Parts: sequence; C-alpha cells; structure tokens
Amino acid sequence: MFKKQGFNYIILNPVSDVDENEYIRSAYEAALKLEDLINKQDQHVFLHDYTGISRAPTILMVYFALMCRHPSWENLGELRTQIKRQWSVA
Amino acid sequence: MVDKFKQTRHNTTYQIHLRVKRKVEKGQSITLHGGIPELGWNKEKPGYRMKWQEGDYWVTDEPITTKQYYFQYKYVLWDDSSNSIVSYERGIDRLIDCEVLDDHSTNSQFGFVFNTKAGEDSHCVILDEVFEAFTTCFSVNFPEPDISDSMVLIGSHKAIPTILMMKDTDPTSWMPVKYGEAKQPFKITCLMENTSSGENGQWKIATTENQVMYEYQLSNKTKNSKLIERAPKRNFTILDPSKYKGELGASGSTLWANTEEVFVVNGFVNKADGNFELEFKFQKIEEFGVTIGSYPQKDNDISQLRSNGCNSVLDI
Repeated sequence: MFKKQGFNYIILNPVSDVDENEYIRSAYEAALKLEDLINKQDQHVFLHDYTGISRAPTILMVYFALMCRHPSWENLGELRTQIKRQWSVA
Repeated sequence: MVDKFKQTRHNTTYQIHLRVKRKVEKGQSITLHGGIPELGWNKEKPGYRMKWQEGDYWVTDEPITTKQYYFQYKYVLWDDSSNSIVSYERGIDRLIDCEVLDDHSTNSQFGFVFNTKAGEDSHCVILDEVFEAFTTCFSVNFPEPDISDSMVLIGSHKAIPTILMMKDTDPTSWMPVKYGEAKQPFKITCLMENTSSGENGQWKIATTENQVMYEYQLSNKTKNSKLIERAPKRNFTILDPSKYKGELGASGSTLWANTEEVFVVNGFVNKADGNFELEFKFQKIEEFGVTIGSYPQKDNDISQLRSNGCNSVLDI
C-alpha cells in the first residue's frame, strides 16, 4: 500500500516493550533508524506502532534526546511534556 | 532469561499446597499426577492422594516438596477399591509456577501447614483451583481517561459474555516496563472451562476451544458515544503446556502483556492488552521531519499521510 502511494522507504523495526532490556536495546536501534532516514536519507518519516500511544512516542523521545540533542534533552520529564503537547495521546 | 533465573534460585525448595472442589461418588477420591517424581508421572499409580474436606474440597495433607519451580500436573478421579484411574480431569494439563505465587510461610490459608526448616530457603505456596476450569483476567487501558467512561468486554467464546469491566480505583503498577508509571486499567475476570484436549490432557492442535476472540467497547454517557476498537478483533491462543519454560517465574510477573499466545499458569491467564486502539490518528512534527501516529489500515489513511508530506515509514 505504501509503495503504491510513492513512499521511498518502508522499514519494519519491531520494538517490544515487555522485557526492559529488550525494550532499551530495540528502542535505541529504532531511534538510529529514524535518524538515518531523517538526517541521511532526507526523508519525512511516518513513525508508528499499533496505537501510537506508548512505543512510538518513546522512540521519538529517544531520538530527540540522544540524536537531536533537543533543548530539553537533559530533562526527560520536560521533553515528555513537550511531546504530549503536540501528540496528546502519548 | 530463564537460564539467568535458574542460576540465582537453585537453592530454593518449594512447598506446595493445593485445593480443588469436586464432588465424587462413594469409593472414589481425587489424586494428583504430575511431571515431578513427587507426583509420580505414572498413569497406573496414584501420584499423590488428596484428602477430603467438608464442602467437597480435596486438599494436600502434606505439602508437595520439590526444587522445581514449575511443572505440569493434573487432577485424577481415582477408584479406591480397584486402585485404578476412573478418569483424568478433562482439558489440557495444568501448569504451576511457584515463583509467581505469594509466599505463605508466615500467613497460611485453609489450615495448611508447611514443613519449613531453619536455614532452608523455602518458598511456601497455596493454589486454590476450580476443577476443569481456569480464570482469565482481561485488562486494557484507555489513554484519554474521562470519569464518564465505561468499558465492555465482548467475547466470541462461550465463557466470555458481554460484560462490563471495572476500572482500578487507584493507580496501580500494570505493565510497568511499557508505561513506567501507575495506570488505572479496566479489568474483568472470567471463569473459563478447560475441558477440551487430546487424550488424557495432551495438547491438541487446532482445538477451537483454545482460541479466544474478543473486543473492547468504550462508552461515554456524557458524550453519548460508543467506540469499538478498530478491526481486527483481539484474540489469544492457549499454548501447549509442555512447551512452558518458566517464563512467568523468570519475569517475576503473571502478566501476559501484549501477546496473542499465552500459557495457562496457576489456573490463570492475566491478559494485559495495553492501550485501547483508537481510530487512525497522526500528528506532524514539522521541525523534526517526523510524523507520529497509529497503525494505518486503509488506502485512505496512507493517502492522508502522503498528502501531509510523509515519504517514508518506520513501523515499530
């Protein structure tokens, strides 16, 4: 469906949030993929999980904090508030 | 995960008391057969004779003592005069995982006594069960809570009626790795029959009884709204107990979180479904070149994304 509508990259990078260590590892890996697509491939990326409530905002937070050095990167509570401001269900 | 757990718990002795209610004919009794030497996994002999108590309860007189924290077992109807099996409890074999049962060494129930010894690392557990049945607790979180919300579970399985769920009154630790903070999920517990299996409790592939389809419906009285989750329906499949490797004990939690495959452990499935699935939504965060949202299911969802400037997808 995505290819048909002209999407360039369709990347599947499952992130499991059941086991803590696995969550940390896979979240970091997904954030690296996000960085590659946005900054190296110059893409506008649609980041999604199933509901868009927990995992996707978490990956966004990792990307903002570690890869973008967002102005609030050292204050994760504030960073979370800023994401929630834009994406209220997070 | 399991290996790491075994390394740290190898000195523990588990003392187990079981209780189950079952009315039997005169001259019959209930015995326990299980996959440990103490329960003699032998179809010709009674593994462990249980003791009758008023109210047609069958209980373990002495605790079953083992160093294995999980194993399979089954209740068996026994004929005392011929000293032979009348019938096995129907349904797939039971599983116990002592590591996710509360310790009762100082606070026993039903008059059970444990034989703890000084200096021994004993974990004393009690399991009160329903013959040929197990319970399932369904739980789901609604991300934008409103005091007028109510949640209904709608099941396709005969054991799951359309039933109103209850919201935890106080925030509770639920799927802590996922959320990192206390939540107030909606919950309901259903008693489900365990009567379908292969011969003598062996696993039977494609037994429809082992597959449960259901969905959640959110209602809001103030807004006069009803919202059913987007398709497809939720489901879970009960797995072959012989494949269980102590996953719950290793994780230290009874939760089967966001998975469609579960084992029935300690007569219980704690099915935690995470978030209620809302309609398709997304939000563009222009300055960072990213759009965030839920799972797109239709061509129209993807068209919307495309016309909002998205040209790549990262599906996690």
